[in-house]
Amino acid sequence: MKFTTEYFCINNKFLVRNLVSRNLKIRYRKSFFGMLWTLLIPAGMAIMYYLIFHHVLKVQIENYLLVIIGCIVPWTFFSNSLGTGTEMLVSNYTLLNKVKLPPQSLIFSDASTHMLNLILGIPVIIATKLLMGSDFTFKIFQFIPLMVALFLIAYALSIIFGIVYVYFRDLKYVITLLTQFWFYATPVMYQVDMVPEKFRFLMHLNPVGFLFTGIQKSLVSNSWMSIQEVTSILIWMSFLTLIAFIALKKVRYKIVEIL
Amino acid sequence: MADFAISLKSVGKSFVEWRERPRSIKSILSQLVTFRLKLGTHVSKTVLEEISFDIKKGEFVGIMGRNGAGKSTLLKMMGGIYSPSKGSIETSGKLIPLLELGAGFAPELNGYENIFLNASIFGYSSNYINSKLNDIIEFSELGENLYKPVQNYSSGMLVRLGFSIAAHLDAEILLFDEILAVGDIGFQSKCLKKIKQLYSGGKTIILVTHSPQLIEQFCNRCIVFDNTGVIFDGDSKEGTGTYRRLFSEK
Repeated sequence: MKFTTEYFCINNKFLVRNLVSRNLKIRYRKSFFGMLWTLLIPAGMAIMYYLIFHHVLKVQIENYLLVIIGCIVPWTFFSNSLGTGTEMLVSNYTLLNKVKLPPQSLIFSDASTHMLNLILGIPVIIATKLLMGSDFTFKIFQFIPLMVALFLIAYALSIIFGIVYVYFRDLKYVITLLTQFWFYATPVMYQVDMVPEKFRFLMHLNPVGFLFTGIQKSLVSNSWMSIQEVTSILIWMSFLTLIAFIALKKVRYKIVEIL
Repeated sequence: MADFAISLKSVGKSFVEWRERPRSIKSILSQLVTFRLKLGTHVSKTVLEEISFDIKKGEFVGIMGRNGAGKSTLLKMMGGIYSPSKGSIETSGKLIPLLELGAGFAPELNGYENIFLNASIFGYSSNYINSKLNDIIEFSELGENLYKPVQNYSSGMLVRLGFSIAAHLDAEILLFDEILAVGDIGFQSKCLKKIKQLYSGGKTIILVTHSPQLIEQFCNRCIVFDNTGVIFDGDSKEGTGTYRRLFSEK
């Protein structure tokens, strides 16, 4: 019980709401398009990738534009969460050092802000699906638990990276590089069965590898995920959550003093 | 219900300090080659040792001591921001620490938005804040400035906002760390009046200050710190005397 209320900031929902609204206000202050940017950037990237991978590199995947848009929106959430979530503890040190604040609430609200952006992107995915004449079946609802899992993985990783970042500021540069690698190691632009069979087991090492396969299955190929894929996601999700929780418990006061 | 507001039992605090070594590429390379790369060293420093006292409900305690005597560290431990290295601290009742100017504010947001952010950091709901909103705004006397970003505030304006929020949220224990000094005389005396009013309303107040007059005038108890420990705990007149003697000896 204590674990869930603490880790998911259940007692701090007003705080999380206010922090999310702070994040949004700061991010879109003095910007003309404001929240619209969260749609424009992934849309622009998707079109760019589509032109290059489909028309120049001649990748042959059915409904390729839908694959890209369907995966780019969650991927943008994931990479942005890691990027800003990692820095949350360090950049908010005055809050941690001068007033009592559960450190995870900062990261939770940051991930929630990005999740709001993702939710705004869902209509774009649906619209693309409609335009491409892809079938709508019940299997599309797999998308919802997948996003919950993605949120939890991004949240846990941001806590872990955020704590490490307090000690090693080099991590910021590592993360930038890491998300680039990670992008290509994840089936965002391709399908997992395009990976040679003998290397395919490597996908298990990627916490979000089968998650993006699942996204493609729910949005594009209208099929159910395999037990193996679901297990892989669940194991990664629980493992990372556990690590994040233990790390948080161990160093929560220490990081405040070090900051 | 316990009759103490804060209870400290043989509390000690030491910090591990990180001393970065002067580095040059040459020295790093030579250390790397010999597998002895050290970026710095950890130095342990004791700030407070074996502090034990109880603060009863409804007391008005002044805390004094030289710069660096550990007053702020103690307040941060009382506020739950730091955890003690030794011993234990128990608090009973809602506590609001007001430790530094502008702490808990988002500089990019305006004063009005920051009232909500700040109060939610202290754990209050939006409904509750709304019910206190008028009092807070009126007391702060910020007028139109309330809708300016907090980063453009003067230190006096920051303390106006911070104090107004903390004083109107009905916490049982309030910690103030030497922040009233920046307000103008008018606001200072208004704050002190408010603090006195809270005190007579049964709230527990803990105030760190370097002003003996303030302590003598308001506090019913004074604790003086020196060299990592309590050197005096008792009547406020005697306490300020002890404090003055700290500096007259040399």
